[in-house]
Amino acid sequence: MSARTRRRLLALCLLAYPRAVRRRDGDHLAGLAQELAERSGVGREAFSLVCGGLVARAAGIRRWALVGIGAITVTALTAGFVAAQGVAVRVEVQSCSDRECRAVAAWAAGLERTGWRCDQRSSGEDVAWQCTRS
Amino acid sequence: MTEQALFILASLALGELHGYGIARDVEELSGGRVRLTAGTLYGALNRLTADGLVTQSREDVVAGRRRRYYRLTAAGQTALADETARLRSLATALGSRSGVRPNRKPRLA
Repeated sequence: MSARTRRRLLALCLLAYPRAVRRRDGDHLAGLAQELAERSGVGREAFSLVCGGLVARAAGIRRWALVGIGAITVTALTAGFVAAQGVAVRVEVQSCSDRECRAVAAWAAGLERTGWRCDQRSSGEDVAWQCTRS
Repeated sequence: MTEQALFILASLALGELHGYGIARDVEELSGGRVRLTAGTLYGALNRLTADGLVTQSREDVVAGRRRRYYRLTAAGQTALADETARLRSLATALGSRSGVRPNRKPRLA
């Protein structure tokens, strides 16, 4: 195999590496592979470049996968937290009897003006107001 | 640490070397047992550099080929010494048993 063909074959195998690696270290890696190919054979070097490139690509994909999974987890946790805040129900209960009930009724009316929903429940002489806000 | 990485550190122990020089030295040092290819050597050097055991010292162009030189860092020298001591102790422990004829009687179940 001529030196030119060998150089072309190794350059082709170098394409297995991610573009960023080729841009940064391509010349150095190609030179190293050519020098070693003169001693150990071009097939062995070509195979090692393809394997090394695929490993480098897999590492890049793994890194991006980790970033993606991290982003999805954070988004899901944030969404869950927001949703949990949104459906949180606050309940206030006041009970009263006889005259005290005026004050409690006024308290309930005040809450209703600010978006609460209040229900009055009576049990004998006792009256209870349960106000809910979601 | 892998055997290849250890041989690379050992080859850099005498001073800076470029990739091709490392591959040749490792082959010689290991008696031809460890033959590094470009892909393997590049990956190993990248990992050792990322771990701070090896650093790039300079680059030059020889016969139209770019050569990058590497040298051992202080952490690399320590790692090489630690690993060598560990392997020596392992070899001593295992060597005391190799070639020894068993003299224990087999235990009965």
